[in-house]
Amino acid sequence: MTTPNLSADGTAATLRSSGPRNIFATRWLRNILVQTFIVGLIVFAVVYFVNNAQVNLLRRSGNFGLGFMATPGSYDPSPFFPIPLKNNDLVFRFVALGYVNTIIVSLIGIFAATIMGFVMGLARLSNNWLIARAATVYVELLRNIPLAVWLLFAFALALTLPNIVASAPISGPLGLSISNEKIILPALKFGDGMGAETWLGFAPFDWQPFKTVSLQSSAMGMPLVGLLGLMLIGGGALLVITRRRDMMRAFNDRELDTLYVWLGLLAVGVVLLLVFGASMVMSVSNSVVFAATAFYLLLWAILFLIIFAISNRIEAQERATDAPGIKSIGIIYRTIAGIVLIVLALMIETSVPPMTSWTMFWVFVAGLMIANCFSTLLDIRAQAIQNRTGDRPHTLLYQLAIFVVVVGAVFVVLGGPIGISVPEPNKFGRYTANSGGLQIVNGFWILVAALAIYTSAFIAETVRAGIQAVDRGQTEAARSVGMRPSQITNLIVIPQALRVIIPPLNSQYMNLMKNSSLAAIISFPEITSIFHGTILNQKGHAIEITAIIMLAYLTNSLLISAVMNTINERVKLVER
Amino acid sequence: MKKLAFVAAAGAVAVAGGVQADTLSDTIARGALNCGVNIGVPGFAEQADDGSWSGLDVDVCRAVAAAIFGDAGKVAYFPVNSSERFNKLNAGEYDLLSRNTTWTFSRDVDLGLSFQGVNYYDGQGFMVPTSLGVSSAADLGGATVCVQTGTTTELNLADFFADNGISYTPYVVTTAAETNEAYLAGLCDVYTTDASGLAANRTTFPDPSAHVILPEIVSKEPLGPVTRQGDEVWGDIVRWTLNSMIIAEELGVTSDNAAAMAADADAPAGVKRLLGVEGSYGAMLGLSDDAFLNSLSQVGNYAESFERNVGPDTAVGLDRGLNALWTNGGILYAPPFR
Ligand SMILES: N[C@@H](CCC(=O)N[C@@H](CS)C(=O)NCC(=O)O)C(=O)O
Repeated sequence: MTTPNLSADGTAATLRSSGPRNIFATRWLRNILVQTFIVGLIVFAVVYFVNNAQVNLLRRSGNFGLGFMATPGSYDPSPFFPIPLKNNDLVFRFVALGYVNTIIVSLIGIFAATIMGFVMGLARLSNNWLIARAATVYVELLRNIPLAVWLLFAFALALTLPNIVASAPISGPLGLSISNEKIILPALKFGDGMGAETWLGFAPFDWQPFKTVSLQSSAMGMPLVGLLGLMLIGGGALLVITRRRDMMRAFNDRELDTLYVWLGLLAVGVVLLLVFGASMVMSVSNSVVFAATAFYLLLWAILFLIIFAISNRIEAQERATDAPGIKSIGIIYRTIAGIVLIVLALMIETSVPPMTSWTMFWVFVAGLMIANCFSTLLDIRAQAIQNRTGDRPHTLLYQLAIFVVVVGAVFVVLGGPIGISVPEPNKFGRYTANSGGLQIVNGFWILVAALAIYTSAFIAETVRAGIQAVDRGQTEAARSVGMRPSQITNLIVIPQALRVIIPPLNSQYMNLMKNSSLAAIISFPEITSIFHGTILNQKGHAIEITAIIMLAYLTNSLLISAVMNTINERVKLVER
Repeated sequence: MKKLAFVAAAGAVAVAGGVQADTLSDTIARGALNCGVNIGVPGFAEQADDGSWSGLDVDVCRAVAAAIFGDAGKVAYFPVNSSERFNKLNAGEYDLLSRNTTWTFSRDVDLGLSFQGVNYYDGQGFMVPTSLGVSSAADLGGATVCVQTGTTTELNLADFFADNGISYTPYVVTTAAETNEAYLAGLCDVYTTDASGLAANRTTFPDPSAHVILPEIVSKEPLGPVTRQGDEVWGDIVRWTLNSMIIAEELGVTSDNAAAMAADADAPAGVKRLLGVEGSYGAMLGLSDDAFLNSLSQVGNYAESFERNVGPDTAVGLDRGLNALWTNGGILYAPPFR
């Protein structure tokens, strides 16, 4: 190694310097010194700001910390949540449900925006002049006007619909109606005919600790430094995971859909642990509630780890063998484990007592997922037969049958707990939480629709760019080997276009999720309007509240990135 | 990168240096009083087409400006909604908040605010369309209620229905304009806020007579001007400007006769003290001695302000009620000016 290596560390520099060794001429040392200095400054700045905020806030109001999270929320929010929320619920619950609303709105929005975006993107490239022009108008109109304006416009428009009390709403059979307040539909009712309070005849958990507790606010607070630290560690860890290619590869080897489950569960766990963990540290007097919560969370985490470990084992087996048996065990195992964990997390999170109609709903979802397992098995078998004989047997009818049978079995096992709930107005002619039926408030669907439609315009552009980036030669080659137009689109163009489409799609999804904070202007409660709009005003604690909101959006963004990066790894060119 | 971090650190030091507040000198240096007011509640804070502001709450801003600068016009108004008013006050966007704000324990103690008195004694009420056929709040079970977020109203509302075991559905909105819109569009059956606010907002409805205010008053809402905690001198200026308006009513000092009474050697001693002829009360606050002479001759005493903005002859049409002087059967009472 006598040749000076200019690109590496100090060797070259030392060789060149003729005088006494100048330590600053050593590159690695210099780098370390400079970086230490910078990190030091940043740490100093952060500590300084935090300390500054703490000192000044203390002088003004004497309490700084998360103690207020364990005080009652004190007001009744509009009842636009998946489960009821009352004034004596803890602030933590208000925030958690606001966060749930943010997630629901974002997920539905992303789903709808993707479909509409793809359709519109393809339409813009259509050979049909009218369709192509219409799509252009759609895109241009939407993306050149701010979302907030669209929201206000849509809401104002919805207000002109007939009023449910004063004038006859647009209505149909079974209580269906559309008014300037909400859309009301008949709904499936789960849990009827069950009689008993619980399924097993006893409550597996004592849910009491999660019911509302009125606590005295304790003045102790956890310093913001801790929160910031947790935020940094959590964010850093997620970043590392999304950046490290080898880690992503490891994830990739797994079933994609299972990955979503894992990531989702991980997110719920991280958020819960962060918030509860912070609350635990902060006040001793509330320890009963939090100890109970922490205990269940701990159980959950242990279960998670066990399942994770077993799952890894099965996967190793899967990779080592081609036996469909093992593969199917893996699929079934992961699906069921995923459901159990989700239901458990939801129970802990929302403190729904076991076997209310919500739990029934989850049981049904579980039934569907089990049916899904069996139909996957059928697919595997079909694949095996195809490999052997070259002919793939038809599976569609069998799969349908499986769904019907499994769902039917769950239905029977639960004692046919299903009925139709026809909404009934109360004496003011209004439909309330107790009126039954499925009630979709205008604020909700307007928000979701506005987010989805608005974002779909940007996605359409991304899709168009992606498709145009695929070389014409590809299409021509496909045509010359006799592929049909639909085959060309589905098998040749879209898979290649996806490589270009996926990365920008990621930021569109993040935009949609963050834009959901505009809900406040149409009075739909999600985390920003609940926490920043109301709780902050009633309880103070601006810095803590803003930090938690930031943490929530950051978590969501990183999760979206993680999922999108996984998909990206899948669609990109395989280098061998 | 290095530079950036350095600038950040330097900025931190600079911020820390400027924490100590002297609101009065800052205000004088600026040449205008920064005052947070309501976006628009008739009679309390309203902006005319020419951009000028008027109202009972606005008069507090104007009186303080007149006491400081000798000119009631030197006010910069900051219209705010209920949920952002305290943040912006604490952040220093304005130095005085005069926006139908209820004095409560937690705002006073927990939010780091200082209440400087009461310029309107109010209570929460309910308004319904006459066509609903409801005559008492007790009949509201099952109704949907429009309420504005970030107010004491939403807290009282939850308490009232829970205490009386009545179920209801809240519809929570952000601004009074949205509340009006939702109520008029029939998204809710009931409108609730301070009774004064109900009367004031009703005047903006297409047909005010189609709405009744129910007899029940379910809370105490002492509304008054607010300052940040920690600057006592500034707080004193605001409190005594408000007191001077009430004392002026007691003494019969009005905008019309203030100058003449100040010049009158035979005026009662109390009047002389108030108008800065005797003693130097203005100077004790860091103002000129004729501070209240200025505010009273430009803005008037409490009775004048009340009659002009919300009194029986205005569209809002409120009676003095609790807000009459203690000597007239009300509870308006200012500590002695001496
Ligand atoms: N006094 C209550 C309520 C004050 C309040 O905000 N009232 C509403 C209803 S009248 C209002 O003034 N809104 C005006 C706006 O947001 O423009 C409080 O201090 O919380």
